[in-house]
Amino acid sequence: MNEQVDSQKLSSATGGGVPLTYVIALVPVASVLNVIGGTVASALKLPIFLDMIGTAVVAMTLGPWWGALVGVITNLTLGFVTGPVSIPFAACNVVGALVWGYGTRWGWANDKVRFFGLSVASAVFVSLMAAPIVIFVFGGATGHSSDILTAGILASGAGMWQSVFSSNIIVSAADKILSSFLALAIIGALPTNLQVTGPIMAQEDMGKAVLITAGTVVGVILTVVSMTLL
Amino acid sequence: MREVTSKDGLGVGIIGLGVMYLIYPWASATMAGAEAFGMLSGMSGVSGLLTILAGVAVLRSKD
Repeated sequence: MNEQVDSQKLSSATGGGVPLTYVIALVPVASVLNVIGGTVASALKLPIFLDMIGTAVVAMTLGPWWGALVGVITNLTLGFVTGPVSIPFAACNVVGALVWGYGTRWGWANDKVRFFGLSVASAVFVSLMAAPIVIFVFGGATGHSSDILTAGILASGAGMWQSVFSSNIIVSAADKILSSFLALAIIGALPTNLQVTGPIMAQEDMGKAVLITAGTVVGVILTVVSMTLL
Repeated sequence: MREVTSKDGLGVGIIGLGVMYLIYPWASATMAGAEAFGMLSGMSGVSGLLTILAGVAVLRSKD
């Protein structure tokens, strides 16, 4: 039965073809999901970004470069909606899509531990891309809540690169872990024959994963709040 | 039914990078005004790295 279901699944992530209509439907919806998440996080001054959930969904289902397209569309749209600050960070969205997409293709999404590792890896690579953008393009601060962390770490005597990367990795880890598991839930909600899979784990018995995700997010929020109060 | 493959995804991903390059001068001029050159240089460097990655993906992709 499972083999029959698997054979009905679309297969872009493993190199096969998927219907163009499915791509045309999913890519804009994922981009809009990113734009809404990013706008809400920005409006509420949340210490996370929430602008890569759709990217993760598309990268893990359709493949890395379709996810990259979603990332570019997202940040260009955000650039026109909320100002051009978002545009340089399109590169971060692209890198996140590549990590999620190729990670899924290489089997990092087929059990809880590896999937958590994939989420952390996406956070690390996105921060590696974001830190040079924040420093070279914006001089160290972009107006995001994570700037508070950067200022706190700078005040403790660390250098600019250390401060920006450290604050970014803290915020990014919470954001990417949350985005990954939300994306997994969205993929799980898709009809079975539309779950274009490389090996993506079934969303059963997710208690520990939810705890890890919730703990990470709460930890980051507490860190930012405590840095604000100090 | 017309189907697309991951190679098509690679193609549109590279098109997306091209669109980013087209938007960068406007974005840097809006953000930095007369000092746009440094910002534009930084953004071009980042995008250049991604374009190199795209090229590597094209070379490694199987027909």
